[in-house]
Amino acid sequence: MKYYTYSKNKIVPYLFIAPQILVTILFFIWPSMMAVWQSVQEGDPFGISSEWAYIYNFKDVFLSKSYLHSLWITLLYGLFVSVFATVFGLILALLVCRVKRFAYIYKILLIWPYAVAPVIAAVLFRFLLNPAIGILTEFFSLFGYEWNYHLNQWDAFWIVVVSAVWQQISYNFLFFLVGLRSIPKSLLEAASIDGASNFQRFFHITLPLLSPTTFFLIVMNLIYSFFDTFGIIHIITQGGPSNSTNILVYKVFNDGFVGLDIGVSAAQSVILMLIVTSCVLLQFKYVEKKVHYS
Amino acid sequence: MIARLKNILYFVLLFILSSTVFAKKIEISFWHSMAGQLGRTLNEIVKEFNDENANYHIKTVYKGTYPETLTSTVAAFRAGAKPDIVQIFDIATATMINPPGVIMPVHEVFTKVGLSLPLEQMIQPAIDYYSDRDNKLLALPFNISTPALFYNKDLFARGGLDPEESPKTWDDVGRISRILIKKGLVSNGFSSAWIGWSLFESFSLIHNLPFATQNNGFDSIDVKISFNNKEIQTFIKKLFNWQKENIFLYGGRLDDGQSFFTSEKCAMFIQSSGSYADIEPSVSFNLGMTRIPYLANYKESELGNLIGGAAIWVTNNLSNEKLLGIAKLFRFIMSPRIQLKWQNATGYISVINSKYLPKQESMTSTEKMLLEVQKFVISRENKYKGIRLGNYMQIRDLVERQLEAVWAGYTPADEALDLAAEEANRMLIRFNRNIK
Repeated sequence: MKYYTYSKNKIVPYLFIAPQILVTILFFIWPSMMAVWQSVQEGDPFGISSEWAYIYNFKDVFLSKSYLHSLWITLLYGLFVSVFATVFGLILALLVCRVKRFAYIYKILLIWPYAVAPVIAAVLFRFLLNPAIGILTEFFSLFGYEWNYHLNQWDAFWIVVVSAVWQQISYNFLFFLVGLRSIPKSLLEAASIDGASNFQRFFHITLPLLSPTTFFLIVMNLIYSFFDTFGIIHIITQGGPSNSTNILVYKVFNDGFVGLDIGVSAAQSVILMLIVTSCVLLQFKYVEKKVHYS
Repeated sequence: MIARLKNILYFVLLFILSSTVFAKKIEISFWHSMAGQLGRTLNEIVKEFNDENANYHIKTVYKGTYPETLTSTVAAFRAGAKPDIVQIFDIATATMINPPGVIMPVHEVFTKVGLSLPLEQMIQPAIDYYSDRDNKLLALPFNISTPALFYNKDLFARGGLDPEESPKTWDDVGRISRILIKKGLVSNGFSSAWIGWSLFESFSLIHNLPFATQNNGFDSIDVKISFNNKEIQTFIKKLFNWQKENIFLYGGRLDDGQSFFTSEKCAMFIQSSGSYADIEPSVSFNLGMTRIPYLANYKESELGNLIGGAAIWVTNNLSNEKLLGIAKLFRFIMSPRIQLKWQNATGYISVINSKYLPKQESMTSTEKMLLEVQKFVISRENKYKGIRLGNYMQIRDLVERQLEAVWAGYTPADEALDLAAEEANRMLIRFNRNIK
């Protein structure tokens, strides 16, 4: 009996992947190459005059204090978003796993925020935390705290982190839930018989077995906080107050699409590309050794 | 079979011929940023023009907010699919004229087709803002507004103040705020929308202070920032101190602060005069609007004013036929009847001086107010025509960022202004390098 049929045809497989490759080239590779090209050019936005800038665009980027500030803010922001999203996602997944009745209702409700577009999520939080009419603002004022994210840099930082985490928890929850399901019951039962407590079982069996999922999620959360939170920032803070939420990707947008300084914007996006690529490569290289892949 | 084919061929030929005969209309694309009611009014005006001029068809396309329209125009230029005319906001003027070749100045358009604009009827600040060094018009001033002080007349009355006596100087604003706060009528005195424009840039222009060298950038592109001067420093410091006293309440860079005013948390609010038609029906109190305040140590005669908004630009390399259509459209837009309609429907200031506008039998309170606003911008002499800087969008943005650091108490006013000037100068150098 023949289980598999192998095709000797050398062209058909390429035809199958052709649409995907075409999309990748058109929407990812080509624009990236254009960004690299633009980053070493200087010219007016309309493209009437254009000449080699060599490294001047990059020099201007690093001479700018606000850029260095954005770099710092982005790292801080990435750290907070990924840690909170991962931890809360895991806690919620663990709790839902223990629920006996109506677990599916919890699942639906917890996955729901992920279906909300970042822009809508941002508008929701803007309403909740509006300095003049927000419900939560009223709540904070009961404790004597004047919440105003237009003024206070940390208020702004937290409103963006909270809206981003709120969205990203669902994604983490979903992956952890599946991860927890794939842990063999027999292992946990054997540990229980040997007298391991809940905590011991969690830290010695569940967590190590979840490490591939956790690792994957941390990388995804970082990339999410670097790029996808753009909508949230654009709606709520526009990068302010001062530069407190002006993360790299928002600065790229602001300099390129609002300010029309294409050279500087392209140079920044090339740097951002390098940062994210090296982040992922580094993590794969060093973390992979410690991650248990089943 | 052949006969049938022949018939089909005749039909096709007839169709092609007829379409060229009947569709001789010249289509002119017009990109704009007028959403909602503004967009509907614009479309009505354009439709009226199209109906009157059988040869032309103006096709309006809404391209998003001002920055979005500008970005779309830039992208379209690069792709070789530019619009014929496009509405661009005030602060992108330097971007549109440098380097030459992007636009055709409006005065050239009119010379070429042998028509003219009613320049003598148009208000001078609007012409000045969009003119070159030789006072020749570069773009058609379209929607014009000016920052104004809105105030809650009911709160003034309850505080024992005369609601008809509008605050004139910043001292008045401070005094009134203190009274109203003390009586517990409001938690804060005033807030402002579009800080960068309506408080910061307007302060320089109102007091005829230099914002940048070379006549605020109108004479040359080799410009240096000069907004970090004593007067502005003192003013920003005053605002900072007022903030601590709850007189000034910061409401963000955009117009989020409007909710402070409409919810009566603040008694006064600085916002574009164009918002009057929008705020008036949305509040339950009696609304007052007046000029933006000035420093008490200045005389009326020493003061200037400023306009904001957007203009319509004609892109380069258009056929003479199109240019003629555009010139006709511009003349149509600048007719007194259309200007009055535009002013009443949108809240923007008529570009035609109100003495040339048709007389109105009965006016609503809003319409009366709108006629008044034009006086805000034409009754004073300007030393500077406005502010024209390269990379102006980023410069306004970085000023607003530095101001936020001041409001939050992170940076003292003088230091923040110096930092902003330093960064802005770097932006100006970049602009000049980019366009050469």
